[in-house]
Amino acid sequence: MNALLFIMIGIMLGAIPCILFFRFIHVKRILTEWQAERVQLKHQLLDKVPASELTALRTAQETHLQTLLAEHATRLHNAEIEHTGCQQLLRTTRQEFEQRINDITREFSQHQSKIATCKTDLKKDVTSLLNILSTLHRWDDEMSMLMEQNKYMLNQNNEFSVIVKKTVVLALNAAIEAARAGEAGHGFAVVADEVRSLATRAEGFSSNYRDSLFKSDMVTTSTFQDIQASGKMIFAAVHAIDSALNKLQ
Amino acid sequence: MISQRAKTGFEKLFPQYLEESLRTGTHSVWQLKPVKANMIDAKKFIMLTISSYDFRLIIILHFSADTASLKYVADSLRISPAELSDTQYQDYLSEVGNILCGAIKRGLFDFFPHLGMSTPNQLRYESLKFVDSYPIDHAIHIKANDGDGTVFFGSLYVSAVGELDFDPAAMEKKDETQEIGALELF
Repeated sequence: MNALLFIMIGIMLGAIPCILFFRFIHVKRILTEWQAERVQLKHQLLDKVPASELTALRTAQETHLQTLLAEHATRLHNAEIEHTGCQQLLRTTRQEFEQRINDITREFSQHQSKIATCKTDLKKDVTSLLNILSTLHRWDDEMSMLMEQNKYMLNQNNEFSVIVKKTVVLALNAAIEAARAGEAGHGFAVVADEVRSLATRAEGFSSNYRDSLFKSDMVTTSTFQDIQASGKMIFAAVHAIDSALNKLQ
Repeated sequence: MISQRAKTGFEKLFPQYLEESLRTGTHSVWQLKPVKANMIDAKKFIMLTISSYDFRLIIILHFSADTASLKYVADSLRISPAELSDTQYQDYLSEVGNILCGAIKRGLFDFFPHLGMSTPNQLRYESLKFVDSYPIDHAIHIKANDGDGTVFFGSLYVSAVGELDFDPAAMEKKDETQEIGALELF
């Protein structure tokens, strides 16, 4: 765009002196031809025309020549004024364009500088964000610990369940032995019944607790997997931004 | 909220991807059939998750560690069932789960470019009844049978936070284009 502008200005600057030069050559050529005609006529008339007529003719021609020279001088003067005006206009226009080009160049440099700063900051942030992978690994480790803990609690609950079942059997045996002892075993039978009742309740709690642990296993795992998958999704998105930034640089 | 065409898309794509992930040189043909949740007969399961901003997919591969499935894994690893350890068996099926999850993720990529998938986890089967602890908007259960006694079940649970919609027809068009491209290479 700027180059085209400069070419146009150059053509305009070159064209005006050329036009003036050609106009000057044209007028000069007319004058030369006219003088040649005059010399020829002079020689012809000198032989035929009387001296008085020759003088009158010369005077008329000189007057005509003076008029032509005056007209030529006026036109030359006007052309010079016009040329000076054009030169002035061109100088002003050129200065204005140069000023605008300088302004645009300066603004462009400022924008480029701002973009470079933004890109550097963005690259730094993106590089920092890519460290999310280490956070994912940390979550992975922590969640694995949680799942291991769930398994451990499940195993503990299984053991507890076995103990409770044995306690129920033991309480039943104790009740049978108390019945065999008759009146003497009456107090023991009451205790055995109470133990069996407690063991049965404990069995119910153990079963509920077992279900809770299974639910906890599922909830923990699905939450962990969601976090893990979402983390990878975020990592992939940040990585894509990083690649796009690398292409810009 | 899942659109009807998205539901249809999942119902069409999930069995296809399940078959692709189970297919091996010795077990290349599988019969896939939609079943109800209470018809699933398995003792173990592997669970994976695909997450997006707007939805979450829980993918479950059910299995029973029976003779047929042990043979399937041993054949795939080119060893005898006697040589197959529990770890190898579970690792192989975890890998099947990974392949299934990856196939679903790739299939949805054109509609949802931002997706992430988890690593597989194996839980006690009793935990599975709590899979709907979070709201489930759509569930698909597929029985895969190789006709030789090997049976696996696949389940897909979809939970949508916002609107979940995609056009499975666009996916089919893309597949057709890719197939034509592949033929042109030859």
